[in-house]
Amino acid sequence: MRLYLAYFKIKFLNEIQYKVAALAGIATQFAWGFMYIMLFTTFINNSDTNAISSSQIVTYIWLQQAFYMLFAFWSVDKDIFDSISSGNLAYELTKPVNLYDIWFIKTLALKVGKTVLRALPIFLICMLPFLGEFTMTAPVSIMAAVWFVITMFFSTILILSYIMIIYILTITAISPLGVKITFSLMGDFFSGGLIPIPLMPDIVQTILKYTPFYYIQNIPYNIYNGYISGNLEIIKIVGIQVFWIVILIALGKLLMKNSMKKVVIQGG
Amino acid sequence: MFKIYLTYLKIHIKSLMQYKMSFILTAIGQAFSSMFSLLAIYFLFEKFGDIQGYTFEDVLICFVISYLGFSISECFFRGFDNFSSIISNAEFDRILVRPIGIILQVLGTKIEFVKIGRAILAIVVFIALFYYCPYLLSVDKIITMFFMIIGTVVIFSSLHILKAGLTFFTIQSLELMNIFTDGGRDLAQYPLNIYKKWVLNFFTFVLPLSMVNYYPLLYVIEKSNNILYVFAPFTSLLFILPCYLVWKLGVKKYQSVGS
Repeated sequence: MRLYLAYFKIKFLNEIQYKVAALAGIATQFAWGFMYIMLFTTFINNSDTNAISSSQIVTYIWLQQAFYMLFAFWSVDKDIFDSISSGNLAYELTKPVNLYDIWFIKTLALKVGKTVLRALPIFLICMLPFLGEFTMTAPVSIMAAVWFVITMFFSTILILSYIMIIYILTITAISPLGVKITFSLMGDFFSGGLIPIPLMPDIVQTILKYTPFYYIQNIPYNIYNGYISGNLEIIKIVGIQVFWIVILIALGKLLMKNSMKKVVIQGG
Repeated sequence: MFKIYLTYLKIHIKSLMQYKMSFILTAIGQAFSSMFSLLAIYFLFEKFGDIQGYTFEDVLICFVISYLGFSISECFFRGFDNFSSIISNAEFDRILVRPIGIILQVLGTKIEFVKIGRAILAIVVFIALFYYCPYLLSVDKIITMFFMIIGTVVIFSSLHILKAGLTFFTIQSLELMNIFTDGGRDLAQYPLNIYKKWVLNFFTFVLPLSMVNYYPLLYVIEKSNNILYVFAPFTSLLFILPCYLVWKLGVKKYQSVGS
């Protein structure tokens, strides 16, 4: 356990050094936030489809921008991909640690580090009242806030266990870049990265409920803004989140075991 | 000068052909990413119907032109987009001592044909549009759309040059400029007046994206008869000036960072 904490600390401290990059990131996040809000609210206000209210979507978008790095599928540890393609993986394998766990912790630390720098300023600014219709609201109830925190935790673990599978598939893939692009683009789109899931056609939403994508960023944000409510409903959702976490981690560990049997390190 | 550029082109194609498979797969990946953007538009229309009087087809014209223009510019102006690496590894010193134009050489450093993958999907949608919207098949409309694409290329290329020019002052790559390049591309997927008034104003008077994307579109989709809108994309040429000026100032100020 202490070992994993040490790995987390190193990666985390390394990540929060990039303050200027974070500042540029925040500016970008704001630009995209405003763009998406204007686009989606125009669609919502133009139609009598009562899917989700525009103030709920405003809150959703700002949460998404604040925690962007946590749930962006391309925000991964490049060092891990490099170690796979350069063969440095061999060193990792000589260490008496579980490779799956280490990669998991490193990626978690990287994502948390990137998010810590960005989330707070975005949160604070978006809550300011002078933004008018662009203002983010507080959680709809205390219970919603509690569930938000709980589901954020599970969503984070869930996306990490998905990203782990991407890492592992690239070890043996013929086109690592192709695997990376395909899996991260798919994840990004179907988890609501481009358009929030509540804005997708009903049939697509129904299908997505049977995939892990539905249970990543979609859940905490929509609990926060009140689109998903009811304790019983949420408990059920948390159950499904845990189910997918177990499945994806088991699958990841199995794939890891198989590819480690096959892995060939060239030269030295 | 043109001959030298052709040589550059040939070299890049040759090096590309060494890794054919990798090229094809990456290009497919690029096409994939634009497919999801297209799917997002489709989903929104499926759920909500027309937006402020614009139909799905109207928005597709916007999307296609914005994506096509952007990918062409990203393919050929990648050297400027990645200019920070040319400065930080002192490649620019070498460029300065050669007896041919600086801009030409920077253009030649990188030509990314994989970006065309993104354009392929746009072209397919374009052809489908002509099939489903036969009213687009008239000389004036085709000319207008041609101007729109060229204008979009001019604007995004100027932005890349501006970004490179600013790199002289900051040395580091300017991620902030992506707000205008990638952001502009994404905004222009829809007619610009669906956003707030200040967005349209900004993209008319500061960055004339509306001149290549929004006003001529109104003519193409028969929302306006103003023949001037056909020629609006020409104003994008004015945008070259300030960008070129910043670039020139940057070159003048350039101090080598060593290697």
